[in-house]
Amino acid sequence: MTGPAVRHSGFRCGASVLALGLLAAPAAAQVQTIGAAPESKNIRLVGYNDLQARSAYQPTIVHQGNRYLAYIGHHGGSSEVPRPINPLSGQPELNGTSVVDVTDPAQPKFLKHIPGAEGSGEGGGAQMVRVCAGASLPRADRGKFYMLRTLGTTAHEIWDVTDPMNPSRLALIGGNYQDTHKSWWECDTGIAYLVSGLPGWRTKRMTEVYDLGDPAKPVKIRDFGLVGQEPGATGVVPTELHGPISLPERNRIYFGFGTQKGGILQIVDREKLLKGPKEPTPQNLQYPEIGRLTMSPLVGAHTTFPLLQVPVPDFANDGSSTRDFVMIVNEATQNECKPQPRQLVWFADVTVENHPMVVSNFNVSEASGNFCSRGGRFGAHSSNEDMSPVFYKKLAFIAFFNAGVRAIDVRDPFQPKEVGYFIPSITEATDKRCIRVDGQQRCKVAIQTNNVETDDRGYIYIVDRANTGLHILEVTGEARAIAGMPQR
Amino acid sequence: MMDNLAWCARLSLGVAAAAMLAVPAFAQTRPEAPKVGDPPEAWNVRLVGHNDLQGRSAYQPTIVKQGNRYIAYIGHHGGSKQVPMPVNSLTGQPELNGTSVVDVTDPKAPKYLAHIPGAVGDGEAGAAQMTRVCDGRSLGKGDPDKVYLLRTFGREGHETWDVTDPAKPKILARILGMRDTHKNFWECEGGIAYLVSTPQGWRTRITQVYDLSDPANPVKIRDFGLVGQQPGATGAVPVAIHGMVSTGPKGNRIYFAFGTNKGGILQIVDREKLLKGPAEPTPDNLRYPEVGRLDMSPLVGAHTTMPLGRIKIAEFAKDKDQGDREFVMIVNETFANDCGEARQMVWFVDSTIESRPMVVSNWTVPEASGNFCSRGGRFGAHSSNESTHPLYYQKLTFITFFNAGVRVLDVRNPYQPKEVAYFIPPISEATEKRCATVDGKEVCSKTTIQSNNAEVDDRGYIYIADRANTGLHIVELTGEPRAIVGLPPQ
Repeated sequence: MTGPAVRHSGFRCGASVLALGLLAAPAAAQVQTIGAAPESKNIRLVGYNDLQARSAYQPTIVHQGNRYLAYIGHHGGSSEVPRPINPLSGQPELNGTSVVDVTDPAQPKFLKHIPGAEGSGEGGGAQMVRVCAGASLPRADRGKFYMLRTLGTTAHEIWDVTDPMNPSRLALIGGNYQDTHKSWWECDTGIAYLVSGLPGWRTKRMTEVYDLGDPAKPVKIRDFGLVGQEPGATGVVPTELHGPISLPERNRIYFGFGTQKGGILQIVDREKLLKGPKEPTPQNLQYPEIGRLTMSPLVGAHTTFPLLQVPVPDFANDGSSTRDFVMIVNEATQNECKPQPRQLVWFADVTVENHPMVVSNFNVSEASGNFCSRGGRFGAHSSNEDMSPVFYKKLAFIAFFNAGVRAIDVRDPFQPKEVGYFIPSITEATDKRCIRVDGQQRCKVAIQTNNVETDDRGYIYIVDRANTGLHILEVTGEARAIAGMPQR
Repeated sequence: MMDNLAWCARLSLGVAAAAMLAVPAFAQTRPEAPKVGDPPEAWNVRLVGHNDLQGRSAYQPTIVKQGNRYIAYIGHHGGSKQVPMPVNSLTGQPELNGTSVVDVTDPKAPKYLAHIPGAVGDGEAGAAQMTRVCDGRSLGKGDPDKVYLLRTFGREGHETWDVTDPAKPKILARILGMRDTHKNFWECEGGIAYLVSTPQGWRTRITQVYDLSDPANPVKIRDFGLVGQQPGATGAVPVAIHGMVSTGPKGNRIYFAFGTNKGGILQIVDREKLLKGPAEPTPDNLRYPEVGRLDMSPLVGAHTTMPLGRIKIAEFAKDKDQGDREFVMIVNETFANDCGEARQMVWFVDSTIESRPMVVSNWTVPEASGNFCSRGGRFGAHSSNESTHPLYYQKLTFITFFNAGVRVLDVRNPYQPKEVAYFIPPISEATEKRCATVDGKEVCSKTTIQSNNAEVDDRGYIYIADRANTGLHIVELTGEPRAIVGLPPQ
């Protein structure tokens, strides 16, 4: 074991012991080089796909028939390469959605690229993707699979992806929106929370609630946002939405506002949202809110991931030992640290829902990899959102841009501990990240692990914002034991 | 526990073989509670001296450099039903618990100088639990050669005393007409005092602001509380105040703590606006001085809100603002014996943006490290040292944890507080069993140490007072934490 194992052990030794532990760790690379091995602890590489060197955002892993498929949403291309070549068709195509067969994670097969919208980076592509089986949706064809994705910043699309080689578009929502972003789709009910920027609303990101129980026939339920964001309101506009996560079985939705600053976690009564009065008046918008955590304005709320009914081990002999938590992940949006306060991971105790409170934080030690000097973004971005029992409430995986993916032991959210990490190697495809120094562009190349997802077999899928592709990983050693997976 | 300590010591010596790093944490726990005659449990702290404080239940120790002496003024809770008036060995008389005055110039041989009896009443209902001491020179209007004690008098009042000769204290003034006094704060520079009481007509315990720059002649400035606590308000009453810490005229901030063991609130107040704003307790006037507020989880309280000031966080050195942040440490108070409530602990709040303070981290003693829920009495946080002397300030903080003694935290990065030392005093024949009334019946738990409050002095000594009558322990750091604060190795 190396230094970090000492640092994160339950028993607290003194700072000199820590220093000793850190000194014992191998010196960290200042910058990454092509051909160097990945940096890792308790995580190993299983397979890889280059995703046609497209900038990747959301991976969604689906057990589809007897296959596992990864649907990967892409940001738009760069101004230099707006349309990378799709080797399957030989054609240049706007970034959209990649469909990869990951049944054998050691040999992922690129099946299809579905082009997206015009526009560079977050201005184009089709970054968000969710997939539901018709068998679980209330009014869909039981033999089919459906994909909900954003189309650039202006619309949402629904596709039939039953045969991923021949996807067909079923419906389009919007077309004139100010923005779109990280939508959520309840596969058991078909209710979708679309992050949209409806014309007339005062923010570019709010929620459109849709019934997509029959994906071919979207039915609008209502619009929703914070009081002050609705059309006709006055005064300061509250922070824009980033995305929600719903728990229908608990009748709760956790909304994350603020991305990298002015973070807000809003806890909403789902029934009241769906069945309450729909007109976006201040009173109607306030009605479904149960609790709200207004964070320090220095940090945002990109992902708000619920971890409910956690028996806190250290409180086993106390009152109130089972607690509800929401893990809040900020998004670092600036390159090379300096322009922004550190964006990290927070654990909020929401046991008393109307007074949620942050209780702890998780951060990657900058010095452990000289991450502020490596180039690109350093800091948290997103977590896995799959709630399969293999990892849920045991390990959380956080994409940390140039620090790769970090595996956190969350069994005691008061004391989150890192138990593994994996920083992929860069390749020829890895795109540069630039800042201005003394009026000049100065660029560096570093991995930019953007988003992460897990499947029910225990594989971890990380995708790179800087075009390095998809890495499929598995946990080893202590991290594997925490998940209860057999050691290899 | 000792094995763990030895393990850390070996690591510190640099014999960090990989096999040793694999030692599981918490492998060793103490199978049973300590007995009379057992040595203290300690890590990087050693006992220097002890005084039994006449077997009185002790709350606040205040340490003062007075001339060429160091004097400890220790506020006491009331006695018990069995022993309401312990004997003062100096006079041979039974006396109601009040204030102990101890000469700690030689910390190895503390000398008990005087006991000033307090009010009638058991436990928190009587005696004179809170003490603050200022000298006349800094107060402004007092006699520059005198030293003054401010203390609570039971629940019903506050008193000022002339303690220039600590062996012969003389009463100067009494402020009466309230109930439910508690943890006052007195700014020695200028003499403004924030007295915790429930004045006539108010709906709960609030703050009475006084000018005590001439301690013999208290001048009332105003009453202050949360909106909803004032006379005539309706609806739910916001949670009662516990105490406050002021940064005085220079810092212009007061950090108010509400809630003790539940419903905690940290309120950040503009001192100038509090002192000079309109005094009438209308909702507008009460709201006017508030700069920011943190409503905590209702499961925990706010006993002490200790400003840590601006700290440069090395981890954030390359980020915006170079990691220059401001913090408040919040300490909850455990009430229930035998872990009968949600864990009360220590919280670190990033208050850089004062209007939006947010908890960023927590600290608690791992229960399993000493089986503390089974030792009897209270287990959990209670209070911190409040001295801002540069020796320890922003580096180490000392938290009393009842049956887990005093715990020493490295707070140089409040995002990652770390324990670096602890001391659990041994129990003695005087240590009283802990009993509470549950469903109308008296239930007693085991006899155990109950470290109640702690304070430090500018020499680096740490003073721990015991709620269960075990007295005053004066301790000092050893090993690595001495290096953190730049104290010479011993």
